[in-house]
Amino acid sequence: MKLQFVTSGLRTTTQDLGRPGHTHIGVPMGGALDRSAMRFANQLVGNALAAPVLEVTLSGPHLRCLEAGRVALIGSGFDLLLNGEPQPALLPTSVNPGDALIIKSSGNGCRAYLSVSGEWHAKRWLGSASALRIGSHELVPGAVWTRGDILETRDRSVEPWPSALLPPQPPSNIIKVSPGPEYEWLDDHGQSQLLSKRILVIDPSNRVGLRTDTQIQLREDKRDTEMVSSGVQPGTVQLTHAGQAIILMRDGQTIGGYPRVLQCVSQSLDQLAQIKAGDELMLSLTDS
Amino acid sequence: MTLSLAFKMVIRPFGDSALLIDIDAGSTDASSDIVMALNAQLSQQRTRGITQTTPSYNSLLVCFEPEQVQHSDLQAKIHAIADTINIEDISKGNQWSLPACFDGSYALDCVALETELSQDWQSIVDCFCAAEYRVHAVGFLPGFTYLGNLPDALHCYRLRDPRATVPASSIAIAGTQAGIYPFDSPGGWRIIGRLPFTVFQAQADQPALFQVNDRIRFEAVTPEVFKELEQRPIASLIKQATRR
Repeated sequence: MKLQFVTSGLRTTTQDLGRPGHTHIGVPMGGALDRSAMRFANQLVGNALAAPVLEVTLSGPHLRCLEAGRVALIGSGFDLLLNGEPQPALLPTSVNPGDALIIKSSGNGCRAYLSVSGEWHAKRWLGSASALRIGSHELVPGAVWTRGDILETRDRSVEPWPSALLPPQPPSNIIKVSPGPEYEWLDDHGQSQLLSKRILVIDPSNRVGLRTDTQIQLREDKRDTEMVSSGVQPGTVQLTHAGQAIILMRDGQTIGGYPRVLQCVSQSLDQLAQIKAGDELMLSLTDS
Repeated sequence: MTLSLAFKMVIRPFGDSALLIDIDAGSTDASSDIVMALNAQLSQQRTRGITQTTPSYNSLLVCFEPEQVQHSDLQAKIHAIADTINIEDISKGNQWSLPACFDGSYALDCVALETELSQDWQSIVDCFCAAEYRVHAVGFLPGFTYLGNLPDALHCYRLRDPRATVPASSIAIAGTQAGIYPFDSPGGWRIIGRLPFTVFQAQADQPALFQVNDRIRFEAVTPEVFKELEQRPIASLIKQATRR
């Protein structure tokens, strides 16, 4: 099928499951921030679960259909309008040439995923079609969509599979965490300030990391300790010298020099994808 | 001949799908040797379930698929590998001799460092260029190169307020480390010079020019030569700068 971008939305990118295996040269794994949404959207249109999708951030694009096919939008807080008509959630939508598709935000969601039926021609870098922006530099320029661009997929006559996956969990701002390598650098007071409290997420928060407004002191004997730079991963909660907790996201740095006080459980990374500046979250220790 | 290595190793879970290995072999260089040897063996043996590893100074982060391998099994496997590693497992890096310009227009912290280090700029540059640096890690940003062996006389503080933009290819020092910025990016290290080429080319077969365990020397050139080198194709510069 073929779609043209009438508008691009705030930032609409191609994302898949990312590029594991390159952290030793500083390239993050990346990929769709909300993987369960990505997989479910792909399943609805009959694509491979790991096929690329469009990741929409805060405000969605307007698209014009040039060739028929199926699309599916997954992401709470976003609606898919076909020629002005809202489409039912959790189902694919068939589109025909001339149709107008609008991905509309209702204001409380952060990211949505649009699957497009057929095989993508996406250019891959280090095995992945995912966009990656470092500072102002786009490492995969073709994965960032702008007005006028045309997205074309090669049709495959595969009917959508019977539902094998469960729909994504409803969004939750309670993030399960386990202690990180420097958790003991916090005293009881520091731990209680960080855990089971509402924490405000502030700007700039993006695919690299979520910043928070915390001011948490390390244990007194650790305050002047300079850490030797060491590996970090998506979901690592670092504490800056100023006491700000930063939760690293999938495009985040691969090595860090700040204490890694907590690590979000893998399952919660999808939830973090839906949290934006201005939202509150709560970090809660897992039982295990 | 195999030389067995003496070191302390601590393996800790780091979330549900990673292990953090901390190595203490007495010195940063010796610990780095073990990290590199261990990392080489892990990748050579294609250990089941491992998705990626991140070596950095005295630690190795090992990410894995919990569906493929259990924490405890992987931990046992790493211990078994650690028992057998030897000096020959450490990859021989490239040796580089890199032209760089340390002129005031590229050395953004020249004046501040003269005061802080109580030396004039020429002796700071001479001191920096006299040493050979070892690549201890590549990361933070794609291609950001962490260098060890900074001479004691050049140890300095980070900027209190990081710069919003450090120009790409800047050479920087901070604390006991030196580093090379691959892209224009924010940064708090002290900028002392610049390379006339990029150190990260996304489309190249090996996007990151420098790898862990490479050795780097810097050779000061004038701004005129620097500007001329900037115009040259990167392939010819790299060929000239490297030897095995």
